[in-house]
Amino acid sequence: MGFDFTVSRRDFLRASGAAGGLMVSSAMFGNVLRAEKPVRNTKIKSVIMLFMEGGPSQLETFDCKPGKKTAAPYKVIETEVPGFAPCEHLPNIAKRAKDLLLIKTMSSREGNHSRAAYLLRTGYIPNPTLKHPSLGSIVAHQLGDPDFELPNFVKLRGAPHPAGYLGVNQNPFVISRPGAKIENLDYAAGVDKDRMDRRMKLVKEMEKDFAKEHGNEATEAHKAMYEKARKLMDSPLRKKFYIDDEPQEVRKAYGQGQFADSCIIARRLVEAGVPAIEIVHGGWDTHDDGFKRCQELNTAIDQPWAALIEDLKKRGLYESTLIVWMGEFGRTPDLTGTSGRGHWPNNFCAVLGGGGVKAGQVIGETDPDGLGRDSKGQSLIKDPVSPADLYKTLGVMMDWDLTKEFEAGNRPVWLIDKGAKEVEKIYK
Amino acid sequence: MRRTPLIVTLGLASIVCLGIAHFSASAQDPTPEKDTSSQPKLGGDWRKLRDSLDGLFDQLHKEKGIKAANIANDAVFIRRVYLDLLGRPPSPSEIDAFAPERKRADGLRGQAKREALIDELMATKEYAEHFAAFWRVVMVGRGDNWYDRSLENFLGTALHENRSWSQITTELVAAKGRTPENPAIGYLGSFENDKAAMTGITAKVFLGKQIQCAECHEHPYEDWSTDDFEAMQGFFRLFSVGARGEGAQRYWFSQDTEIHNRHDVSAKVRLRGKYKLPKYLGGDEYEFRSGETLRDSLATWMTSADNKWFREMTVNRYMAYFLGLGFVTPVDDFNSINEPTFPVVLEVMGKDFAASGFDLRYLIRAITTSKLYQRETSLNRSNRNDWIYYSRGYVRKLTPEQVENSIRAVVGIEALNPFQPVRDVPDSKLTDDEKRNKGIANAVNGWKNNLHRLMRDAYNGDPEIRELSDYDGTLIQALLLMNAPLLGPASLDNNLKKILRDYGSHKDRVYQIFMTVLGRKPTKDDIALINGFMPAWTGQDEQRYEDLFMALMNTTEFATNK
Repeated sequence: MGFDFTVSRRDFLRASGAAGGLMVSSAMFGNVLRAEKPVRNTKIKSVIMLFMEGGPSQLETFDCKPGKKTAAPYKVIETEVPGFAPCEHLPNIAKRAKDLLLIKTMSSREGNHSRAAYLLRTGYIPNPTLKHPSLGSIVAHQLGDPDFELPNFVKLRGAPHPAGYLGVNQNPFVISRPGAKIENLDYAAGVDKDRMDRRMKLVKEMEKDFAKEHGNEATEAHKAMYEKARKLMDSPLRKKFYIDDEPQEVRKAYGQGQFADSCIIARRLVEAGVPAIEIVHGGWDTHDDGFKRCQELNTAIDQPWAALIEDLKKRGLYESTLIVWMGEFGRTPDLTGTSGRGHWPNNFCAVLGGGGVKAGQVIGETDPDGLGRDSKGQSLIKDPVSPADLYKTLGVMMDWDLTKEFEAGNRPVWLIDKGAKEVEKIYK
Repeated sequence: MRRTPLIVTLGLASIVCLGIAHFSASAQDPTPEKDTSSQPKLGGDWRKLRDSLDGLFDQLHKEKGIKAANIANDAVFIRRVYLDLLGRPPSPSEIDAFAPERKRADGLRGQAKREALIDELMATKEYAEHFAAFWRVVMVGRGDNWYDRSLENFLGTALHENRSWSQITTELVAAKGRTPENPAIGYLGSFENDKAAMTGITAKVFLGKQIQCAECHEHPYEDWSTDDFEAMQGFFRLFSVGARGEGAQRYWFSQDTEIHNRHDVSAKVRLRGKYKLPKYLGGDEYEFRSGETLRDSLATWMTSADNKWFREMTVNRYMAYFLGLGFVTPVDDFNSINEPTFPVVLEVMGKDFAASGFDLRYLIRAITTSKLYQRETSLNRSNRNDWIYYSRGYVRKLTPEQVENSIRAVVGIEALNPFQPVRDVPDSKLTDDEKRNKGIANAVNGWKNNLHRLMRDAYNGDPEIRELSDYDGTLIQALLLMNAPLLGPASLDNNLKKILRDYGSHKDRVYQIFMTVLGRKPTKDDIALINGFMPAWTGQDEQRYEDLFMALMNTTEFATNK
């Protein structure tokens, strides 16, 4: 009576029932991997990524071409480091030239926001069959103590990029409104630790019954997250998420605004021992009114970023903290009618500083006009650095398990793309 | 030719790879459609489709030596189907009404009773709202902009009227006019005139084709170049969404440049210095029809019954949603190195769905009344590792929307404090009763909105960049379920208070709390467990039973469909 499927049946009889299991179950509930505290041969203890979402214009930040046809009507600030001449709206960062390393020739082929952001956050182009962890998750996994009370990866604003095959414990803990009270972190009114304990004791017992009947994929993921959540709720280190008890002069040094507050929180988290922090600062997708908007954006990040460097130095933490500034791509040399620019992955800037970085130098060179490509479409940039290359370099600097084969589904995957080459100049 | 080495390099050591040569061969076979003698009429009867699915997998289990799990009893089935169709667990009274000992007026029993329930649920507004939320997340994510609300509103109406999937798709892709008269504009409006995103997301959502990468470079494993992307994007080139007015008067409208004839240069896309007509993805050039916009033409091509991608994408998405496992994983990535586990089944289901007139409820009926859907999740030695053959129900994590709906239903504030209309006059002119009602309405809305905001924060931190994939918001979700004021302010009635008011004995209270939160009776083990723990718990009854209530809301069982 029904449809005849027999045509296909003999074909899939050979398919093995067990093979896809891990892939599917972890896709449903996330991997939960138990790990030991790793030992790494590196002086880097924390990484702060300053992610400029939207694609910051190289031509209005660190690779300005004053006087050229497509340039903004802004001056640059020459510094003691040849080639490091940021836009005039980054005066505090200009003073830190010797503490920073500029890569002028980050280069990729991805000009779509979400794909490029994925690439710059993970070192891999998106692959729909597997989620690569972002830098913060890798650092959390490689440098973090699994038993640490705070999350090993704190993300200040932005979307929660999952840790994929590294397991839910390395997922970012996203704070949507940095500085504001984090909701649901405290026991609800009228519920003390004792009451929560008794609730959770009962939960624990019920979980055992559930696992017996339905398998433990779901309950293992559940257990991991609840354990971590309880630890966090009871930790005195929670106050590191806030800036209220930060002295006035320190707050003043960082300036005002969400990015400034986020930088203060990042420093506090570094002090507390959080290995991975990402601050997301959006608004860089300047298709329109680009000159004015870049001025505002530069002004918003200049003082806090410089203050963060200064502050970490003062506390003796700069040499163990790596700071990475970048976005998903740069912007076209051509201007739109309203002084905006389109997406341009051909060449864009990244700025590194702190732990392990050989600061005070510039890597890569672009053509004097800032066109990036000639009329035939040939690239004019020297020493391009791909996102994967940058990740490989960071991996070497932090002594990550670069040769270790992880498993995502039933396929092997490595923290860094095996074809990537490190850029030795960055640390040697 | 090209396929084999690619697979080897990518190391896809899964079933997908083992069977790939065979599957692709059979996928290229002449379609079984022409052989009408042995096939029933397509689209005529979802029961036939269902029976074929059941027959096939029964046979497969036998051949593979898998002992499939039993068909779940009514108690398990009702929670499963409520969560899937309405996004929430059934209430104790709904469970009671479905109990085997309750006779239906129409005398239906067994499977027929389940089929009737499925139809009844699909006729509700809740069903339409739940799937409107489901589809809008798929299409535009979890933001809260005008277009998100507008799209969800459109989908709610369309799904409630059971418009066909092809009609809904056409109304979205070729939306005309303005808001609020045509809320369908919300879909394309969400792209804020970013044509590349419009093209990429539309191909992915409706056709299961991931072409976004071809915006900038050649597709890594399909024959799609940046030219193909541009040519497809050409269908949106002459279109934009504009806005006029301020505040509450603000509205959004669509505009398309008119095309006068087939030689009209305005329709053409400039590719490497040459002007070319837009091209349907991977295929033919745009066909001019007088009076039609480019988008009309795109929609016609997309939703044609001959469009395999369109048919199979939605079948696969619903298989994955209802069964926890589609034929293609990830659900919306159909490509030549990601072959379906059962290509012919998918093919036939797609054609049957098309022949039904793209009737979503037809498809849902076939899936949810199948044995595949109704099996217990219980494991035995032979089905424990089966993640392909549907030999047991797969435990599924609830979506954020299901979690939110479940919390709302389980806590029950809205039902217990029903909204009373209050005259729209200054407070000083309201009667005391009206003032009280207004206070309650505000408190209920406050609770509801706060819950929604918390869920959105937990699952979608950033409305600016589209992150469509689901996120394991695990730590944040755990904190939310443990610490958020889920039971609402003291001024409002909720299910826990009602239980404590209506039932005096410990036994009844435990029973009611289980029925309310987990949608099932407590087992003997549960009762023993609770009676072992609870006597030592200090405090008033309200506190002790609140602890029980909240504990159950923090179990895996609450957060999964099993």
